[in-house]
Amino acid sequence: MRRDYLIPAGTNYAGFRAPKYTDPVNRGGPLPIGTPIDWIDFGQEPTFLVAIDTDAATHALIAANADVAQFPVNIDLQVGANLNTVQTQLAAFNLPGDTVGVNTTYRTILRGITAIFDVLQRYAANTGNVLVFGAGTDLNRTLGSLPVGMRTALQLAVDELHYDRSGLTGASTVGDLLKKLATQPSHLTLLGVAY
Amino acid sequence: MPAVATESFTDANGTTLLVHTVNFELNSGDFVIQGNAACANGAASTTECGAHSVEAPATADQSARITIASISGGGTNQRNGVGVRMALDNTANYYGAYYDDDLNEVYFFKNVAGTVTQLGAAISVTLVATNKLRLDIVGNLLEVFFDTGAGWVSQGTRTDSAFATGAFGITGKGITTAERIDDFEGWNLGVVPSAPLQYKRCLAPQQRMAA
Repeated sequence: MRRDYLIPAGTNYAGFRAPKYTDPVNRGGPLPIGTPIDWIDFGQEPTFLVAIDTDAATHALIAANADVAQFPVNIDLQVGANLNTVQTQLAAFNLPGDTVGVNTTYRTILRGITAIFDVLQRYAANTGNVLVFGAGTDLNRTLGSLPVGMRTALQLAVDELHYDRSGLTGASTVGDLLKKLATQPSHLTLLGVAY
Repeated sequence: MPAVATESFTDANGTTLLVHTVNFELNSGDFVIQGNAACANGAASTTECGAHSVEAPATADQSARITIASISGGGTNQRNGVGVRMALDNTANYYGAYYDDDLNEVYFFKNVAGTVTQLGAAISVTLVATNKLRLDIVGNLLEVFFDTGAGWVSQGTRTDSAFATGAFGITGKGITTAERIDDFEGWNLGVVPSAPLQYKRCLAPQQRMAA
């Protein structure tokens, strides 16, 4: 069954930057050969959203890693009693969780993540991989306090991909920007399917 | 609709790509001619190599195609393939798909300022000389095809939004000359910008009568 995960970046058997824990068994990893798997990156930020269609045993191997966040098989479930856990895990990956409520579905969260990743991919390419997070920047930093080049590059990436950034000001935070993106349809798919 | 850029890499062994032709520019690493075909030839076996065509203007939606000319399988993980939306300012920014004939896999990848990220799972395949490899990009959808003698067959798609523009070309990794590619073709899949159309003034019937 297909599941979705947030997984930190690593280096895979073939020498590429890729999500950790996604090598096939014949290359020293946990995945059975031929496992359908796809991923998108958070630009140069060290996180991937990964979709894997696999069995319960393989899922258990991946989910057992402390730095992996897993989504349920049925992503149309509401977050419900898992709200605090979900918000904490999203924050650990520099993703805003404070708009997630008990009635929010996991599909809504995943769609929002793909929109955020969409923009950060273009931002990374336009800036030559300048990181947004780290070096004093977190979700609470205001857009007005970002280095001018970073702020301009974020605006450019949003505009090039035709996302709406209306209503955001210099007093808005990086988290506000990502939350604004997360409410909009994304261009990215995983295993050929949009959320 | 024919290919808008072609290259057969016919030259003396050891000729570097830029000495061979002015129709390519390097994005990273280097390529060398061997046996009238091309192969990645970077400074080290881990050097990513990319070169884009300047032979024709490319639309953002484009296709790059090559023929496998020689396979080594010599344990060197030499890789050769194609690239799209390769930066016209010659920086290490592009999408690619290349074949590793030791691991027998084709990889989708993006090179962003020298950081090379694999895009989704590798495609397990054993290609042989005369087989063809193709990478298309339309919008943000990348698609790899193989032609093993029966025409182009899609092998999968990926989505990514890093690059919006650039040119088609060739990619690779390694320093051996035993695995080589030949007969590059670059295709435009989008509408090529043209000069503005010129319209003749057209009079309405009653205006023509009056005139």
